[in-house]
Amino acid sequence: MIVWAIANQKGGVGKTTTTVSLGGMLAEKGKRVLLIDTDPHASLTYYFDIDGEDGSATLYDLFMHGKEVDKEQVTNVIQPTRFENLSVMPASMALATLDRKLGPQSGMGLLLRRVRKLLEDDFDFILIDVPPVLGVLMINALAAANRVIVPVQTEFLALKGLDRMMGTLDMVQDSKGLTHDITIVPTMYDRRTKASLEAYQELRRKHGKLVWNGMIPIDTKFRDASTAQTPISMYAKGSRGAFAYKGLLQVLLSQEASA
Amino acid sequence: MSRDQKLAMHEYLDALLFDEKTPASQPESAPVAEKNTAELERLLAQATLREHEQAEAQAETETQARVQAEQAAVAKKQAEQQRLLELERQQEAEMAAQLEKQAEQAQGEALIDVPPPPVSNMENYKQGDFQALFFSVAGLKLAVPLKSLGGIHQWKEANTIFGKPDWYLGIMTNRDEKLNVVDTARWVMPEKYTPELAESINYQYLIMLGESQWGLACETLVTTESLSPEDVQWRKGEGSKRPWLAGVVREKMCAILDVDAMVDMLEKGLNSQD
Repeated sequence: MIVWAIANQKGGVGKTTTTVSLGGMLAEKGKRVLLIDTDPHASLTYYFDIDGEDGSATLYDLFMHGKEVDKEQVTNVIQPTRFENLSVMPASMALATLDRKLGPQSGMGLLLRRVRKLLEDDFDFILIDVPPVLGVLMINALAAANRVIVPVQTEFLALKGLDRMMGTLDMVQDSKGLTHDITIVPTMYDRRTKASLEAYQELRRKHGKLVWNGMIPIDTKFRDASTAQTPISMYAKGSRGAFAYKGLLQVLLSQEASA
Repeated sequence: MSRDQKLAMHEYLDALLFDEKTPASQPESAPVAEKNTAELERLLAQATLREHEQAEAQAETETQARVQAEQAAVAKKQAEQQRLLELERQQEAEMAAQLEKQAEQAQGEALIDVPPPPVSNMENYKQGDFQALFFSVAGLKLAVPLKSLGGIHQWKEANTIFGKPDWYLGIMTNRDEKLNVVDTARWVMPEKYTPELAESINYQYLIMLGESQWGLACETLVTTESLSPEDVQWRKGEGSKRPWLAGVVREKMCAILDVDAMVDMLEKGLNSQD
């Protein structure tokens, strides 16, 4: 099983779009895909028209079961989508209270890793949409994932957020020896602006090979796809956005194959 | 990042990612153990007796090494915990000595001295950005800082208790906890609480206040948002008419709750206007 965490400590950089787009394409390839929404804003959950507040079980319930969560409890939280091979583990707003509720409780950063182990035979890919806050949810995602995909908006302020994220990854590695493959994905690239180009060049200069050799362009089709609650590859196959994510997925899969 | 900040982060990560499992006793390792056993059996069936013995000896050495490493890790952890405990005790002792000294100095004045009011949590929120949960009741939007939020529960009918104020809806049981349920609309705006309004309210959640057993009934969870102190028009000073109202979120014109003050009022059986 391959697990990717889509993370950045800055919000609004395209984490959910990246999660849904890559997940949708993998499902189209016949891979069994689970998307885990760990963000209390629950954008990913709403993307698939699931209401995390309607009383059905969410990721929050798994944290309440604690470290000894079992397979039945985990599968109980997973919901199918209307797309073949694509399932979602929904979030709810109550996730925002976890850090306060659990504090740095011993071992609570390993819950998603346990979920991964329990689902080893049920899915080929797990993609985790991570909230832009360093806390118990982000640490869980990092501990469970073998690759971290970091979407970065191609503008200067967003580069600062990237520095923080890279610092966190370094710290997790120093502290617990958790190493990840890292792929930085330039997003919301606007070829008409100089700022986008400069930010992209700065990214390449600073992070070199970690930066994917392409970029996700601004494309109104992303918005239309989310309104239609459909991954972009299924909604507008020929769009620039879908084409860009297809290129990214090819690179990621070839890197996984050689890892 | 300063050295202290780094240390704090390392401690945080160490706690969250502390893997306490012991291979034989944890259910978590069972599937892996089964897989390993099956694999070992297959290899053994193919191997000669000599290879079998070598494999066993090697496995035993590896197990011993692993056990030793685990024991060393546990001992290190225990030593660290012991050190922290010592440090804590030492700090407590120093604090107690300091308090004693202050008490001695204050002797004589104590009878006329009134202890200063405890600093409300709200004072801390004025110092920097904080996250708040927005929820709504009968069209009224309220906000509570996440750090003062004890939890959110799905709505279950509360058991009514007679002889309590009319805003007290009763006790909701959650696992082994008994939670006191406040009819938020009735408490916050008793003047607008008509039978028609009561009929229209459909409570869905219980918002728990801090560490207390008091919860506010609410209809909708709206969002969580980061606020800076400048986003809030803070109410000033002691003795204000509504101590539970910490201020108003300017852009949203929404009341932000002073959870400590509110719990204090609920404990005393007061309503929002008292």
